[in-house]
Parts: sequence; C-alpha cells; structure tokens
Amino acid sequence: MTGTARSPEDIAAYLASLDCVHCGLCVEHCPTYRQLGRESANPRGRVYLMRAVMEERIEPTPDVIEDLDLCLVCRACESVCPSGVAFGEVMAQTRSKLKKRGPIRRWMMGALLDRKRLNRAAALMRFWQRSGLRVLRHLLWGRLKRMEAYMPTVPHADARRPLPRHAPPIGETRGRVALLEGCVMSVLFQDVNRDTMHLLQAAGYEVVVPEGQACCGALHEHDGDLETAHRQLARNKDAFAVDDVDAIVMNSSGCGAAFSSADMPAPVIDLSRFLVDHGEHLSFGAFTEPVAYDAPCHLHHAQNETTAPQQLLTRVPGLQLVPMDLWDHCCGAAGIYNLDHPELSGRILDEKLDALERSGASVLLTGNPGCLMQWRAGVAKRGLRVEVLHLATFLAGQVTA
Amino acid sequence: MAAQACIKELKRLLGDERCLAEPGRLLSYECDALTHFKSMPSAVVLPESTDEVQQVVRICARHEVPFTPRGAGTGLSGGAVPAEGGVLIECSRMRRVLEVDVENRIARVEPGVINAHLSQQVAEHGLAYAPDPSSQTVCTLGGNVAENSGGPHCLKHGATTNHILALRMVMPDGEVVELGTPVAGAAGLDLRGVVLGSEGTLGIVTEITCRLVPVPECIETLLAPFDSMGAACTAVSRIVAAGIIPAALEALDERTIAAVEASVYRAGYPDDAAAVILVELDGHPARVEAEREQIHAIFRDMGALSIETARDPEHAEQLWKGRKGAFGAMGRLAPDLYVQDAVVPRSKLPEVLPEIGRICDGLGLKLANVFHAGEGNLHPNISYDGRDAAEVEKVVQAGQQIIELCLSVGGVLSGEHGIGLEKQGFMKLMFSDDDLESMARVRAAFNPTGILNPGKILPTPRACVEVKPVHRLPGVDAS
Repeated sequence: MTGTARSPEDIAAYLASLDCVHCGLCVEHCPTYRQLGRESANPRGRVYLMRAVMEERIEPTPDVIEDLDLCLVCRACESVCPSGVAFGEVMAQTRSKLKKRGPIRRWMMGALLDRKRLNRAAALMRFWQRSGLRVLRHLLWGRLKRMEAYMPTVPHADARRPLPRHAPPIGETRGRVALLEGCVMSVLFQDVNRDTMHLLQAAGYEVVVPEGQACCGALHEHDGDLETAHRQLARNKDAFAVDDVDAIVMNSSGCGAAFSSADMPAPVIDLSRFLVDHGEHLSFGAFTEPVAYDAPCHLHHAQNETTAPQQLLTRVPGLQLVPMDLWDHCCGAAGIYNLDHPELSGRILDEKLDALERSGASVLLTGNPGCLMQWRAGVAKRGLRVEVLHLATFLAGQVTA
Repeated sequence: MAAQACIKELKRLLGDERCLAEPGRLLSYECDALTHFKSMPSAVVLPESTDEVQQVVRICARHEVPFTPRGAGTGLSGGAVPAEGGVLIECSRMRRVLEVDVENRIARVEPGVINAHLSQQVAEHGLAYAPDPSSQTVCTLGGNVAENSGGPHCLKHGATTNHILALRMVMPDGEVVELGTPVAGAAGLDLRGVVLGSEGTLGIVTEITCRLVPVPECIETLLAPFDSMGAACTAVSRIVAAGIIPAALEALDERTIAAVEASVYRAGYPDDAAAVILVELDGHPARVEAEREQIHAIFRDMGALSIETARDPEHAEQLWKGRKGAFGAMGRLAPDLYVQDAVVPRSKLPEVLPEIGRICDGLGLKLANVFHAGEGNLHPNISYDGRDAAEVEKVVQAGQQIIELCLSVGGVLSGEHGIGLEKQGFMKLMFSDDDLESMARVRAAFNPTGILNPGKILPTPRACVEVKPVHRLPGVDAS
C-alpha cells in the first residue's frame, strides 16, 4: 500500500485513531474483552492494531482480522472515552478495507435492500416453519443453520402487509411526522411499526410513511460495505423530503443511528424521546409487574439517548422499573454478529440473561429488532418466564388516550 | 529456541484462547498506558487460577524465559511492559470475588477484579473499598497492589497498602506463599508490606485480602474556582495547616478544565477560572459542617471566585467523573500524553508549579496540571506527538527537569504511578548506591535469578526496551 494515494476517509480514520492516548478507560466496558480478557479484543487494543495496520507497521494477519471482526461495534467505548475517539468510524473504515464477503452473505445483505425479495424469503421461511419441513433442519449447516434456529416465527402475510401511507391523528392535530418501515422490521415486526404509528396518532400526530423509502443501510455499514450504506442513506434522504414533516420518528435504534449520522431533511428522533417531548397528554393504564429495560446500544451509545425510555415508563401508573446489571451493555445481537460469531455472542448473552434473572423482572423492554430476536431466543432457550417486548408494543398496550 | 518450546507447553496447558502467540495480538501488549516504552512478548497467557499461574511460572522458569504480570494495562510507568521475548501473564480473567465477610469488613478477591466493581459489589452492605485511582472503573486490584496505587480519596483514607491485609503469591520459582493475615496485627517482619508497591518484581499475587470501610454518614463535595493557581495552592496548604484532612483535595488548571469540559465527562467546571479546587469532606455531619465553615473562610480569604456545593450525590459524582476522566481527555490536545508523577511538600506547590510551567514553555511543550493537591502529588500532563522524534526527546528532557526540580525542594520521585521503566534512571538522583544495593538484595531474596519482571525499578543498563517513537501514515506527507 506504500505510496498509494490516501482517500480523505482513510486520512480521517487515521486522524481519529490518533485521538486515543491509551488511557484504557474503555476496556472494561467492552463486552468482548469481558469475555476474552485479551487486549486485542478491547477498544484500546483494537485502535492500536487499526493504527498499526494503517501505518503499515504490521500486516493484517488472520489474528488481527479476527479480533477486529469480533468487535460488536456496540460503541459502548465511545460513551466512556474521555478523548472522544470516533471508534465506530475508524472501525467502519477499517472493515471496508479488510472484510471479505462470501456468496451467502452477499445474498443475505442484498435481500435486505429489496422489499419484494425480503417478502418472498419471509414467505418461504414461514412455509418452512409451519409445513413440517422443519424436521429436516439437522441437514442445514453453518450460518444457515444458526439463522434458522434463531429466526422468530414469521408472521402471516396479512400481518406483514405494508403500513398505510397516511394515518390521521386521533383528536386535536398537533403536527405531522414521518415513519420508516425498515427491512427486518417490516417483515418480522410490522406489529411494532403499527404500535408505533398508533402511539403517534394518539399523541395527536398525522403519520406519513413516505414512498420510495428503503433499508437504511445500517447493517451494511456494520459489515463494512460503506458504498451500499451511503447509497441507502441517499435514497432515504430523497424519499423523506416530504412537505411539513416535524420529525422523522424512529423505532429501531440501528436505523435511528444511521439516519442520525446523515443530514436528513427533518430532525431524526427516537420514538421514546419524541413521546417524552411531545406526548405529554398521553395517558397510560396501570401496570404492576416488575419491568426491566435493556438499552439498545445504537440508542444509548450511538445516539446518546440514555434517559427517554425510562422517563416514559415512569408515566405508567404503578410501573416498577427494576434495575438490571449490564443494562447498558450489548446483548450480543449486534446486527448479524450472532450469526457470524454464535459462540461469543452466546457467552455475552448468557451474562445478560443471568442479570435478567437476578433482576426479577417479568417483562423486558428494548427498542431494536436485533435485540428483540436475540433476547427472545435466549429467554426461550433458558425457559424463563419473561416477556420480551419492544417499548412501542408495551406502551401501545397501556395507552388509554 | 527456549521460547518456542516454552510456548508449546503453555499452549498445551491453556489452549489457544488463553495462550496468545500471534503477531497482532502480541503487538497490542507492547506497552501499557505509558506508550513510549515498547517491547514485544513472545506469548501472553491468561490463567484463571493460582494453580494455573503456578504452572505457567514453572514452565517459564524451566525454560528460563522471563515473565511479567499485567492487570488492565493502565499503569503509567511501564511496569507491565514485557521483557523482549518474555511471557506476559495477564490477570484479566482472574476476576472472582471469592469472599465478602461483612461482619469483619474484609473481602478476598482475585487480582483481576476491577477496583470499582468491588465497591459496587459490597455497596448493599454499606461498605466500600477506599483507594480510588482515577482509572478505578477499569484498573485491577492486582495492579493496585503492584503499584501501591493512590487516588484522590487516599489523602484521608490512605493508599492501597493501608487496605491490604494479606496476599497469596506465586514466587518466581513457582512456590505459593501466604503473606500477612486477614486479622489486623503485626507479628514478625512485614513481608506483605515489602510486596506492596514492588511492581510485580517479587512475586505474582493471585489472591488479595483487603479491608472494606463503611460508607461515611455524610459526604459533602465543594468546588471553588480561583483566578490564579498560586492562590488555589496556598488555599490548599492553609486547609491542611489548619488541621483539616479532607477526604480529597484536588486541583485542576485551566487547560485541564477545557479538555474535560469538551469530553463526555464534562462536569460543569467554570470555564473562566485559572484553577479549580475540588474538596470532599466526609464523616460525622457535625464535623463536616465545622470543617466546611473553616474551608469556606479560607477560600474567601484567598479570593475564591465562588464556592459551590454539590447539590446531590449525582452532582458530586459528575464533579468526580470530570476529575477522573481528565487524563484521557488530554487526548483532545495531541496524539500522545506523558503524565509525570512526583510529590513535593504542599507548602512548595505555589513555587514549584510556575517553575514546571517555565520548563515546559522553554521546551515549547503543551502542559496541563491536574493533581492531588492535598498530598502535594503533582501530575504535570504533557501533550505531544509521538511521531515527532524531536518532540519525544523534549518530553523526556522535561520529565527529567521536573523530577530534578521536585527533588531539589525535598520531594519524592513518584507519588503513586511507580518507577517501572520510566524512572529507574532517576533512582540515583534520590537514593545512594548503598540504598539501591539494599533494595537489590531484598529483591534477590524473593527473585534471585531476576526472571520475574526484569529491568524494572532498579537502575540497569537499558538493553531491550527503548523509546520507539516514529510511526506515520504511509502515503501522506504530514497530518
């Protein structure tokens, strides 16, 4: 690479790596370091290696690639970094150079971009899950086998139908907001989208679901495919340039982080923050069982939204929010990390499940599709009597006006 | 190749996940938080028990491969830098709290337990582990024992050595010994005390029995900005001279405040002050109140711009987080940071600080001061660019001049960061040949062959480890 011209992004990533003074305040906040204990599996060590690769002090040997790949990109390190190292950016840039993608991966990441393909895959999956063919699952191998095991029951086609393009406010009109349906969200968690829409309507907002919107590209960025990520954001920027929208409201923290990083035509706000700021006259019915909140990394660390979900929950009469250890640590879902690194992802989740059990909660709330799937798979495997819900689902069930 | 045969045995003992010998993984261990000394190990091992440490040590000893223990790598004097080609024994996976004895207020832990985690774990009993290094959210108790670490609250409550009752330790030949007793007392020579602060050169500690202290009844945190560091330092000496020992008494200068306020640890320190003093009082409410009144009077007399009291525990925590994140926040000023650590008599602070400023100005270096004022423990932070060999040389010069200055006013080489690799060259400035010979004999009694953490503390001709500064981004002229 010596003598090659450096792109502005390369130089920016290099300069960001120089912000690290090796103080180490990040290391214990890294879920992979907590499991593995080695320096190259913590943020300080990873920055050190990324810098060494850029400086050509070392070759990107398989051990270097493995330990960089083992990063969840949960960005918990950014929340505690006194020096403000833009870890996520350095990692994305490094992955874009080093990551190799095989055919199954390319197919899978490509499917996210096309609603029709995604729907066909969902229909096929539903058929597989319901027809009895599942007895053949021991014939699957590798990532396909893990994906099959981890996939929640795909909802019926009716439940997957697209959201209406417009939904009127309930009661007095207070404004107009736009909603992203998402890729995984739209096929597996359309109920969460509907609940989100309902809450916004109840708060007095007209909801628009702009035509031409697409997958936000966050999973592609996570995977180091920056070209696709940028293209998706550009598409969405055009699609969301609709008239008189006060905000683009997000209910998936991964997509929210991606949208927030781009210059979108309207302010990008997580549902929880939006309802804290603009849903003051919503009222909720009482709920008396103990509830725990698990912060999605891309809300808590990447968007620095650390209080709104809890604040919102205080408005539910009788609700007892129980403290849960490690509530601001990654659950191990991290995009498709759990498919790529099932063993380590499982170890990370196990520590979280222990914390959930200790908390005594009977409902666990979170705010991201990946986290929902990961937690539900973990809770089911351990046989816990805990309901794992999206915050929107829970609140929509409690809202009275 | 002794090292290769040694690694083979270590791999057999611990497997690939806990015995690392791959080039990138090893590179990440070439330095600790003081980045200008670098040296590559031939393997890093991650044992999980005393028994495994013992087996690792025996294997290394048999192959005559030197070995060095390491905690979280937050040390600031190069104490955990491996010997070139040696084995690094990383204690990060020995993180069990083995026993909490609430009645007797003691805990027995493994060396990889994080300092702050111990306090969190015993908080439900109204107890805490007192020493609180600024890196306490990540640093290990094993590392604290090795460095005899201090921290802001050590002013009143004492440094690590005052809180450690007993140790289990693997000797450099693999023998396991117990030093000290869980019951306070003093019978025979205090070998536990010898090991505290020995920077991993006498043995590898694998179990620590420490004191827990009750959380004080009343805690009050005060913040006072001043328009000169001199006035702030005089206020500090007067507080101590008045017979008050606050729990903590810290100072931050203008540049430190700016760096902290730009970071995630922004604490709301005033941005127009030349210095701020952070004081914490604890104990019986009546006593806290009396001391607060005295301190207010001294602050007013010395021209404090204001005196703020933390509103609630969250506000106090915020004020402390700013102080404790200060070192890392300096990364905003330049790519690298050198933190000097020396102690001077408190009364000398007003004359020594401007002199340190002149040293750094003279060399064209960027200086920020954040320090344990109550103990006269200075931490001049010099920000620099490690890729600039000439600047690195100036930083080394400044370090030496600061040390000479502090010693000339009756100061000490290190307050709490240790000697490590950084300051062994300065040992002769403070100690006579006889002193050093005595220390060498003590070390030889524990570590006769010198196979354990060689090249640290006592001056030796520096052969393997060196200041290796210059790395740049290829393909780009300058950043």
